[in-house]
Amino acid sequence: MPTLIESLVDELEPVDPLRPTRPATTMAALTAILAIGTVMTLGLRDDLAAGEPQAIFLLRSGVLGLIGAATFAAVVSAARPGVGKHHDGWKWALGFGAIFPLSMGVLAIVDGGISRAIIEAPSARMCVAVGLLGGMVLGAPLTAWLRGGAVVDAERTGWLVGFASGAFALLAYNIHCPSSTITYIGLWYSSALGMAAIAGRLIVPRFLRW
Amino acid sequence: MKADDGTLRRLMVAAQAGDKRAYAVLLEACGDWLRRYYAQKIAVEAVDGLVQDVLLSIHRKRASYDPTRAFLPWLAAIARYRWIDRLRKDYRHAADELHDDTASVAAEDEAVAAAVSLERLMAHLSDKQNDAIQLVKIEGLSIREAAKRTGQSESAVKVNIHRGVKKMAALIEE
Repeated sequence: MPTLIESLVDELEPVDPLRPTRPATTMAALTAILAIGTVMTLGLRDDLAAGEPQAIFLLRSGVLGLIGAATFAAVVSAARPGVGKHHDGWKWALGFGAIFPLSMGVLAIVDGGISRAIIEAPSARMCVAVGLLGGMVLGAPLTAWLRGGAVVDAERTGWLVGFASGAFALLAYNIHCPSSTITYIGLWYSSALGMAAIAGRLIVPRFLRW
Repeated sequence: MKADDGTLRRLMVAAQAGDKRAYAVLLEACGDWLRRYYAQKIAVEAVDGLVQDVLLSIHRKRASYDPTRAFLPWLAAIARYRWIDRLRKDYRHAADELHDDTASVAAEDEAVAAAVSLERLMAHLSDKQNDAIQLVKIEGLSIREAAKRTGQSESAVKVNIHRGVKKMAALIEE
């Protein structure tokens, strides 16, 4: 009767080491498709259409891109574990992104609340829907890729997948989003990103198996 | 066989390319390394099962090894994950049958062994968590015996085990 090692050796087939190129290309392509679809169905922001982007749009894009890239890098790292690996960039990126909800809180205190126009903004539902559903579309292939990895902390990785896919989906929606206020971003973008992260935490670990 | 990280890394790269001879040598070396790695942290009768679990994980997840990085930190991450997985399960064993092979680990490569060791992982726990896990999950005492030995209540021992294992699970790559 063959030993375990003999059996494993007998079963050996060549494998390609997991590389981040495939999920990175997929995420970039899906983000681009989502952005094109958003522009074709909802239209481009006025300032972008005029070729004069506002500072708040650039800031929002930068923060979303930063959160997406940092959490994506952490997901890739999670698939290829190693004691002593430290990938804390995502914490800094999320901390930087917290500037929007924190500013919203300060402004709400100063102004005595959040304006009704922002709470009831028609674009808010679309923002949350694209962040959540678009995040799932982006998160699915990333999760499929992760299944080939050796994730040792499934819960944290679930959060990270949610943040990464939600941030890139919102980055795509961002080029349509007509809003240009800190309060709107702090309320609706943060909510959408938070929901995408919760979805990632709840869904992704179920698919990660050893 | 006691191989250094560079040798193990070369063997793993060859195994990823389908070299069966290199793979056989690698798995034997990993098995030896794992038996020393788990010394004092699991009973003799449980070691072989745990080592086999890790070897199976190495086999299934061999594509997750990044050839540009050191090998032992990758192996240790999987070994820690499997060990914590085993701690979550209830098992009992005799306290006097623990491995005592730490000297060979130290002689092999002190710096690497210390950096990836299970002791380093347990160092993140509070004294009470450490005691509860050590006595119940590693030495095989009952909850009641551990409570008597540590002066903690039985429910505190259970809570400390639960929290300690959860904490270590979140720190596998530390």
